[in-house]
Amino acid sequence: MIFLQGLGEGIAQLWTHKVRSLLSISCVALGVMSFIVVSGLVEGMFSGWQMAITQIGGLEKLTVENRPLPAKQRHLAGASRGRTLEDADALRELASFSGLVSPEVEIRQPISRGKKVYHGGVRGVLPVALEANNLSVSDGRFITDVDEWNRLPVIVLGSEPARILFDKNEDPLGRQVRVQGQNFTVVGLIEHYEKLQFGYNVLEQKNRVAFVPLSTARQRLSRAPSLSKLTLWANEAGMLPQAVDEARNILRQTHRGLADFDVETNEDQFAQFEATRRNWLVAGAAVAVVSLIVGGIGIMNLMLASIQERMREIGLRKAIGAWNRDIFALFVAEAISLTLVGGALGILAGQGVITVLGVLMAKLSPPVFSFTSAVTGLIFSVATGLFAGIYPALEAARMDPIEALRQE
Amino acid sequence: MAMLEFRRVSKHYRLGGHTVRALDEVDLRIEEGEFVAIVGPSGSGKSTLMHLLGFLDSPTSGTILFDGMELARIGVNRRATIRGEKIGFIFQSFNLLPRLTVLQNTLLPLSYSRSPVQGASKRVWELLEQVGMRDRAHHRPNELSGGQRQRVAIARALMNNPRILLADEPTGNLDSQTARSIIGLFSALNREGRTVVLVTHDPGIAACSRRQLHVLDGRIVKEVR
Ligand SMILES: Nc1ncnc2c1ncn2[C@@H]1O[C@H](COP(=O)(O)OP(=O)(O)OP(=O)(O)O)[C@@H](O)[C@H]1O
Ligand SMILES: [Mg+2]
Repeated sequence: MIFLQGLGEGIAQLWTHKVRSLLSISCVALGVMSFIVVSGLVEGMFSGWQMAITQIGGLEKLTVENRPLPAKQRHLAGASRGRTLEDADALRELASFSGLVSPEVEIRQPISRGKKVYHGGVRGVLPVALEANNLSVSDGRFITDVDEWNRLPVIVLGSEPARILFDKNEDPLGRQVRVQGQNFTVVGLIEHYEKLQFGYNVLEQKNRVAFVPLSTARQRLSRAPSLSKLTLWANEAGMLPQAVDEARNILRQTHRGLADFDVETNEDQFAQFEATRRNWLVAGAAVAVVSLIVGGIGIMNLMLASIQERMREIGLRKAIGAWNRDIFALFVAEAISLTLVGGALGILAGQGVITVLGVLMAKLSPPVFSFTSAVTGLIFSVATGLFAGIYPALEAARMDPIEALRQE
Repeated sequence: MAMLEFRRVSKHYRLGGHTVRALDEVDLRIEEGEFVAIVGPSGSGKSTLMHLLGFLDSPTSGTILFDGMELARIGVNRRATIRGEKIGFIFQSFNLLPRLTVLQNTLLPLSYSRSPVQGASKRVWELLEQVGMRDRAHHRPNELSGGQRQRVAIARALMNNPRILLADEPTGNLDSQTARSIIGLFSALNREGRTVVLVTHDPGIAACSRRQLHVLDGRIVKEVR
């Protein structure tokens, strides 16, 4: 009750000394505003990252990467063959923690049809690539085992190469395109993916694909014995460490002890994203804390001045029955009401800045206004009020009523 | 049993090297329903006496009894509550809160009352009526004359229905005409049975009371009934 009265008194004080009060709560407002804007920027960036992480295959994805041989194996460099189909077969047969295994060769060659050329390259894959890359076919079919066994010259196109190589009214199915001087028959089309975020299709990578059977690619397009990509997926994200260990053991066998490979996960990237995000949040919080401390000192100063001016009021309240703790609560509540107003202004200003930045950064990852950061900001400002109010309120509560009433 | 009793009460202040005896071994009894005026020259100790009567201050030595209770045995918070519920203060400089309206100022003691006050919203209007300030209920103190402010202060002092009113030079800032009407108000309150103690410089006002205490150099030197 007395606390509520104090909150009301605080607002009334603020109103009677508008300029003075606004000046001293402006630091609190700035602190809360900067916290809200920085955390909004971080959240905005992070939601972009999350999208990117799902794009690169999620947390269950394991990639086998080439590594230079360590010094003591350097003399065996001639024996290193990189990642091979043999690796992929061994992983598929022996791994129990991982399911899908998708080997790939990348052919950096244009696809052409008459004068039309698509420069995105071709990927030689197994039928499993459809599931592995989280794609579906909109028309025709994907690469099959039959294509693979017979090394057939067939090709499956994503929506982007299809758009470039064919006219709108043409049906690409059954038609021929050329890669490295050889004809390939279009047997399937991949669905078109689109998720617009501020005018930018974040799923565009899924449209820029062209697949041929792995065996066909290796026979007709690339003579290299090694794979350009070897990816597998753990059955459960929780089993990732086991899956990584298992894959390493299997590959150690097929590589005959040569340490020319490593198995990597997206975890490191996640960790890096998380670390970056935390750093930014800490920086934002630091700015906020500094301005809140400055703001708190301002409020404390204001409260001390206000108590000097209102000594007779304090004396009177004591004369009519106020306990020391009532006076204490009154002034703490006043300080809190000031910082609450500051915090509320800060939230409004932060929201405004985020809205403006959202327009300016529409093509990047625009900041998001989060309810959580607004609540955190308010909690911060209440804490500032508490911190700033306690000392002046103690002074007021301790005041001798007669001394206080004697003041002119 | 006296309502208020002082036994050899002294209040000393140490100032630099020497001691100021603001009150020096005062013996005093005030009964329920009395109207007491305290008179004396400036610096004689009248305000000090009032503060002690009103539990705002503690004596350097001696015993103060309120309803037979010894002040020294009452804790700080309990003292504040007794001040709020049993004692009404009226000051020379009114001490109204400038931001609050007449009505809010009058209601202020309720915030600190520890026992529930029944019918407060009705009572506040009756009090404002009694002091003649009902039609000014929504004005702020700076819109009122001195006499009107003191009337509001009296209504406020009466809000918790106290047993004793302590007024320290309540008319000191008022012209004689206004002063007389305020004193009339005190007389009326006393006729209703309320105990009134007031400090005044004005012999005319002191004459209105039924008992006058003359204070000089911290002692009660003369008593007139
Ligand atoms: N806090 C204090 N410290 C030192 N001396 C004090 C203090 N308060 C009062 N005194 C002294 O005590 C004496 C009595 O003061 P008091 O205020 O009771 O006088 P008073 O009779 O009310 O005077 P006035 O008519 O001017 O109000 C004075 O000499 C005063 O200087
Ligand atoms: Mg005095």
